[in-house]
Amino acid sequence: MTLLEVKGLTIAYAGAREPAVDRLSFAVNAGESLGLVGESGSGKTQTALGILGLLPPQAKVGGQVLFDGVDLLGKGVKILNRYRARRVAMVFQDPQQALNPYLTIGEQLRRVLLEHRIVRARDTRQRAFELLRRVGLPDAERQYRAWPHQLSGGMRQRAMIALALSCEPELLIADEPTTALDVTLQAQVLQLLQKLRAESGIALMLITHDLGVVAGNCGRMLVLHHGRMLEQGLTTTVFQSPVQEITRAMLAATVSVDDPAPPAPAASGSPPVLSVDKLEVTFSDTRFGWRPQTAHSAVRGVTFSLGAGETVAVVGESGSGKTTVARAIVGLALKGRGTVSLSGESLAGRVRFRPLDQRRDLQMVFQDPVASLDPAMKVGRIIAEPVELHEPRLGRAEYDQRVVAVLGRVGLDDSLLQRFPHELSGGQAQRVAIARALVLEPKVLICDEAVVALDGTVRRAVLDLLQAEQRRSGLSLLFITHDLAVVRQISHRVLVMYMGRICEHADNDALFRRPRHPYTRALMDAVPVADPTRGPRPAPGVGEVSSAGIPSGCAFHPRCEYAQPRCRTERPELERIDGSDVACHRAGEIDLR
Amino acid sequence: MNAWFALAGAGAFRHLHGGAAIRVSTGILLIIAAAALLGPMLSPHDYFDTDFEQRLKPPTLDEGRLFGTDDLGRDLFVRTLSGTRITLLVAVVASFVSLAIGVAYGAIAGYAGGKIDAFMMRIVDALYALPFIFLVILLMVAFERNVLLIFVAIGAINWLDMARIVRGQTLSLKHREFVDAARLIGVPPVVIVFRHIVPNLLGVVVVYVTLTIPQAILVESFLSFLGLGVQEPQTSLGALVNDGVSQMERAPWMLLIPATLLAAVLMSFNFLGDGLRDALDPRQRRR
Repeated sequence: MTLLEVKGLTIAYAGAREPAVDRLSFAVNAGESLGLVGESGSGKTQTALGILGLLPPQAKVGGQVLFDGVDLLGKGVKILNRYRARRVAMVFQDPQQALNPYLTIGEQLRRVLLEHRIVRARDTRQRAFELLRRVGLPDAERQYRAWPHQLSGGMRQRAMIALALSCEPELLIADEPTTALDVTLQAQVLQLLQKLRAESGIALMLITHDLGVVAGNCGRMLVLHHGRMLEQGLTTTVFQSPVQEITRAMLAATVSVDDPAPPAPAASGSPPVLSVDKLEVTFSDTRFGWRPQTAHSAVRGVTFSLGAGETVAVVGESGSGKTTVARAIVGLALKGRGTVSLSGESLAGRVRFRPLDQRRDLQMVFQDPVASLDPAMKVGRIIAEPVELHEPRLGRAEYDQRVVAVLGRVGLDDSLLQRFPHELSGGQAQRVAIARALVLEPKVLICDEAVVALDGTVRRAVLDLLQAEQRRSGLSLLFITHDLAVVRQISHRVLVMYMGRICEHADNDALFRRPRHPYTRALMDAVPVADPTRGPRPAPGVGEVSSAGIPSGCAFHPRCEYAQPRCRTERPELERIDGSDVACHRAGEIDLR
Repeated sequence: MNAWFALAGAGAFRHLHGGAAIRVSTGILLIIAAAALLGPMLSPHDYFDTDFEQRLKPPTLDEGRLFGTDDLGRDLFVRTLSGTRITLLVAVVASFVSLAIGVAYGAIAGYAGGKIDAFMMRIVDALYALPFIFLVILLMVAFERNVLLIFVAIGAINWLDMARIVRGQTLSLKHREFVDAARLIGVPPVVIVFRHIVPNLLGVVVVYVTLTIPQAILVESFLSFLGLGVQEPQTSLGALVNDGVSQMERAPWMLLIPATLLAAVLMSFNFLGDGLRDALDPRQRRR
């Protein structure tokens, strides 16, 4: 039975060259799971907002949106509200922004339930508890009273799903519901959505840019490109024999954990370029001046080294301290204890105390490409700035020549020199940021989640570019990421971090062939695989990081299925097992292959 | 009072598109400024010439006395326009004095952070605590009244607000990644403040300046109204309104004309500020 039928949906904005969504037609059947896939700007979110009538007033909308035979397009709020929440509900990408920060979770649920008269006023509490339990928030009474900021990201998204389910809708539209979450949480939330679909027969429209998510979760899929539908069909069919060139390119660009590792660099025997010894970073809350400060340690003793021409990846969930390690190395986070040395020279803790030539050798590329470029400067000035600073005696012509040369190396055209950052695409902006770092010919480039903000094909191209640069100049890369597929493609060695400590340190091949730490295994299981034939896998790792501080003993023990009494009391040190360093009491006995 | 004007503007002109508000108010301000600059030259009279035969004449086309004369027989057309000139000059100069001090002070405090920031902002707080109008009045009484002193006095009030706003913006900008990138490259702190931070604040600052100009005009008018502002025979719109009030019953034009002009200038600046705020607000920008 067709639940939702979209016919010739067109969404256009004045001033835009082409419509955001162009004559899109598709249908969602009751109880099915449809994946809407496309890169950013392909119109997938616009489509979702169009269905629910949530587009901004300046959008020009045409076509038909038939829900159960009734055209919802252009209907007033009164009629739409009979459908919104009650029959079609939506889960947004960022639960932090979608939940009202001034109301408790319970109050938000209560208001929806009352507004739509789902239950009588005195039963709302009971009903809210039921909903919270259903989405896997077991301590429902506590979560009912919690404010959104008191919940972790995964719990917030669950609360958001509870809200969406409160009126028992027939269709749930989930717009990138897991993009803001860690891989392990992503797997759990996706599993929850599948469970709900199986239990209550809700149809699911899953909007995502991640083909791996679609492969594991959707029966049918729809590929969007520039607002037009490229193809639709059964997920297995589309993956096996994509009709369109662009779909094929998207599939080819998915980096998989199964891809081969890059060849290790020739062992030079020379001392490491960068070495980090027992690094500790502690943050203290100094916002209230003289009040007693609460300190929490983000990094608790991290030791590793990076050789010339080598790539080391640091992986972990958010809060594992991986970004803090990167920031402490470059001198942006206040270092607590330990040493960081570059080519044998020990570096000052803060970047402002480091001499210029040390800064030159250690450059960084940031997560958000647009935010890392000064919005008031043109691309040419942005790239020229470091050269002018480090080599003040060169002339204008020499600066220009260097800028053009580096721009070519990162695969950009000179015509971009006169553009402002907001006029660039995400991929172009990240290339400019890389060019700014490379123009100084650094020895070490630290990439902090440098490709997460980029779409599949662009991500692949940027990774290729970094590898090419490494082959050309022997650059050492320190790659901070939470994405294991990226780790597999780019790194020679991998550090897995959990709660500020290294829990596994191994060669790329060794780690992926035979993970030794249960946490590494959990991370690997959580990666969505772009192969629909494998079917959904059980989500790993029960529970999630609690905000209550670092557990005693092995920090991972509350989530670990192999935990023993010893793990609760005694902290495991890194030990060498078959060439890998693992911090687990049971690493020798358990087999995680 | 300034807030009242802004409120009235917000209500009455909400339907005006941001662009239209900017165009209309800029147009009005340009016309008034041009008239203030050129008008006095076109008239046969001087602003200080008294003519006792011609006291309290209502507006007429004869002899170019378009706005009539005051109780000393001075030509009000010339006086009003040269008063407008002084008013605009005071407002613009005072606002730019506050802009220069406030932006530099706020950006440095915000970027430096920590103890330096706390110290610099406590100075601002301390200055806030002083009753400024009272201080200005004391200054005016103690020293010889002159236009320069008014610039200093008004600028000294306004830069405090500017410093606070700029500091707040700087705090949010300094943790952005492009600032981190500049630090890694090795750009010295002072250069970061003036090359990377200040240019990114200009949108907010421009809006704020257009909204402080009417405030400065009001302070100047207020001082002149109290008889502490511009010294006779020089005049300003505030001083003219003051004169007009005393002759309100015998010669209403002495009040109405400068008051209307003052209102027009104030409202135009407020609309301009509102329009610019809308135009520069990133959330209003089309994707």
